[in-house]
Amino acid sequence: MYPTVRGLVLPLAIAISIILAGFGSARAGGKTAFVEIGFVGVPPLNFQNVLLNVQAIRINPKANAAPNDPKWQKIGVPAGIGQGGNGTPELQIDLNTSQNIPQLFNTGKVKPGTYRIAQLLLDPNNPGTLVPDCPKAGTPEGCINYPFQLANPGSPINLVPAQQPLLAPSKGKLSQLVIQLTMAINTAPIQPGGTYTVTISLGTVTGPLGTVTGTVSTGSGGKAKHVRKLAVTAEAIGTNTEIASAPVASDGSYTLLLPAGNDFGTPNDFGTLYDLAVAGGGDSYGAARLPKLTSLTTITQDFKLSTNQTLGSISGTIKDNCVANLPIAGATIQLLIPPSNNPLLSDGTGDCSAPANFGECVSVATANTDNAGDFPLPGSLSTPAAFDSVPILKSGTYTMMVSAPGYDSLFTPVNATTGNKSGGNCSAGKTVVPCNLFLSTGYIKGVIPITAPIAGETTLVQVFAEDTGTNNIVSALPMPIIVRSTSSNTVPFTINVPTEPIPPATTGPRTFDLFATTIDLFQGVTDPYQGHKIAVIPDIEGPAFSSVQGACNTVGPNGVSSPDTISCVGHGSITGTVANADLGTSVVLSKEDVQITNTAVQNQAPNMSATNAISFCIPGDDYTVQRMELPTQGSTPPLMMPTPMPVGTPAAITVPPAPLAGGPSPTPTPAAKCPTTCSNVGGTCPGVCNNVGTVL
Amino acid sequence: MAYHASRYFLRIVAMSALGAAFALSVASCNNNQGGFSGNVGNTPNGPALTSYRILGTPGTPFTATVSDARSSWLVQGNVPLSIIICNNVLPAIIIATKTSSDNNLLSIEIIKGTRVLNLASTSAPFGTVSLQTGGKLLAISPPASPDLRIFVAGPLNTSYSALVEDIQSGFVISDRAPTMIMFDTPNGKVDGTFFQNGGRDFGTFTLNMTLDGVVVASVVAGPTAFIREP
Repeated sequence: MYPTVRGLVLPLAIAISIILAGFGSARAGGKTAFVEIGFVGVPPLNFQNVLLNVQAIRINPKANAAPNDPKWQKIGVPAGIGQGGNGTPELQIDLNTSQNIPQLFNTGKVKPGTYRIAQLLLDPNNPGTLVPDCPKAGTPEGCINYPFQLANPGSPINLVPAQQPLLAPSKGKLSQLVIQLTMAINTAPIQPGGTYTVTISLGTVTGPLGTVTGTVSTGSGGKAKHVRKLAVTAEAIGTNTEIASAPVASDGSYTLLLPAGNDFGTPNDFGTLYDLAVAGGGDSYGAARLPKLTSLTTITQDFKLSTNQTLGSISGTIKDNCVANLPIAGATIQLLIPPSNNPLLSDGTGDCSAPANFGECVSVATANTDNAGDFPLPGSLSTPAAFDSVPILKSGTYTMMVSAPGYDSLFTPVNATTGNKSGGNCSAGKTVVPCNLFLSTGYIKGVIPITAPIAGETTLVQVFAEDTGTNNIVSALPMPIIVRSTSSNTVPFTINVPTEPIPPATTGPRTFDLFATTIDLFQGVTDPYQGHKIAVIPDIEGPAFSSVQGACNTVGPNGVSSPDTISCVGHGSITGTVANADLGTSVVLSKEDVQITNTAVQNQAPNMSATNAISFCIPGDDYTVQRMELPTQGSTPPLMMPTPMPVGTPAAITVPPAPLAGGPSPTPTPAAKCPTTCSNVGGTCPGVCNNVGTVL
Repeated sequence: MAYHASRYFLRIVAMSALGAAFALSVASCNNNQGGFSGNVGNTPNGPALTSYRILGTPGTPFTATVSDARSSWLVQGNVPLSIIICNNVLPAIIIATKTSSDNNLLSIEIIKGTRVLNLASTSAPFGTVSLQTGGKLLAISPPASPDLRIFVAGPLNTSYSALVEDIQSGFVISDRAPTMIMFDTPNGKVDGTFFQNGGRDFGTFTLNMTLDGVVVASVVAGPTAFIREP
């Protein structure tokens, strides 16, 4: 995990990583062709989330194939996302976030042939969930979960295009099937907890995908057992987030089909930015940073690797520098190398460990720590962990980056080792230094005023820290704070924060904005959006760096207090449109100059009926919304991940609190039943929420 | 199923089931999460275990609070991770916060037996999702005491079955690594027997057991492994 900018809504659909479906027993059952499935959403209007629980897509050569036809070829949820036990795994996708460019679902192996029908398989018991904005969509309350059922629950959801065939994958080749998922509302519920009835239809879309192809000079051990197969992986630029991965064929070729923005040749056009990482077999690593990829275009990127490398391992332990023997679970460890098209980086050193440089480098291997702080998690016999198959450099080192929320990222030179010295050398010298590392941190203590809940109710408070003036969240409490009726009217908290300055700065204090949200129930069931006011604490100078183990610095609690009080105001929403938006456009929502959240602009041209829509579910309060733009990309690869910049002036928006319901003084929303999100003394509670519109 | 049976009987059952599983190439034991294939006696089936899956973009870090009606646990890790509570008392709730500042997907699922009961997802930076099952749990329970966990680190994504037991109760688990197994309010010492499904050797198990945050046992063994509280 890089310390990315939270406000950077890259023009990339949510990544679920369609990894290595083509690996392993590729010829099992004659399945030697590859099909990549992607979804483009056409959701109904006025919903914050349109969530489908997808189990699989299956295809058949016969357009009228029976449900039990033996020729169905199923492409299910990616194995890597954690299917377990004996059940059918499923993946939740949001149609709202895949309106501009597709969300990749998976790449599956199928028999070569001609296919005429595709069928969408949803969870038959729980096909999905809708979260409407505040009442515009015929519901009694917005920003809460409503299940939906299909209008024809027993009928399959088929795609049989008029222009046949649907697709014709051939042996060893990658084909694409991008399915347009359209949902229409048939009936809406009349009370919270009710069920929508919907109709889902399927269509095909040409694009918006781009192709990345090329050759990899290889030949050493790519087919060996117990070695990771040689593959080219596309990552979101400047991150280790895998978008898709393709095996390198025996002739050295590879092909990736990736989500890509449209390019109309106008100045605001914004493609999609990727890094490529090559790893596996017995070859050296390779990396490249690509220029923008646009729909229906091809980028050719070749790699020249060193073959017949000796493979070694890197392992170790990550612990907290402040608390003795405290392991850091869930830390992310990456190996970074310069991209082949910028090997010396902008300062000419080629050193990825320099604070100003690491953003120019590419992650070629990733590992995580377990609950004891040990890394890497073990692989399997057929697919060893990435850190167990690292080419040993004959000269020089890799850069290893270790990061965890609330801690300073750590950079160290590292090389893999083997034999009785296996486990890696975390130094630039010949003497092996084990990779047992400590991450530094500091603490901010503070208090947040709160209206304590009434007896029998609790409120869960979560606190976040972000770099001042940005949406770059760097830390959160590991566990929300429980506030009961017997608690005081302030919530004390202690949060870990990094202590080193933000690169490229090397000196000076690091400052933070803090904000606190709540995790609520609505009528006793979990609520996707909070109904309590957000409290902010702007511009707190963070603790100073300390390299001394066990002696870390703390600021506060004096002077670290919110002027706001967390109180129950109910849900609210902001909806609007953004003129002349492109894939680099996003909108940030702030309170008292503290950035809270952001959103991409959905449903842009060239979609039919483009709306350029934004929406936030946010409790009733005073906010500002600010348009942000990513810089337009040229035809050459950017040095690093671009940063969004504000455009125009922020717009002030007041979302009225939900009118009270229940209690001794009945309200404009008598249909609401208390308690909703919470109750006040006297028995009232927030009623149906308000929506406010805006145009940016 | 041996829900309230003696630990010695359960161990015999487990080893018998191991052979049966190898022979029949089916997943796991009789009921808590699936069904041991072998004959495991006449004790009645216990209730299906509730488990949780943290899914989405592989590697995405998160912090989660899991609470049943008696105890709660803090879990930090990366996607994917399965979480199982042995001896759980419903209702239960899970709250997960993504701890990365990107748009990667974090999805949580509640599983009962082998069925996905419910899902919730977020792609927001540091987004939070929550789910509950078995009724309404209006407050997080106190931290588990003792906090006894077994972490199945690997082999990665390999299907396995296990019998996890204290001196009174045994729980059959069928899942894939990595998995965090918590034992709510154990009666005496806890141990676990793990074997890979299908009678195949996909690599060695890497297990550790923590008691109140301290590693008290570690095992690297395969294709079967046994770990016990010292």
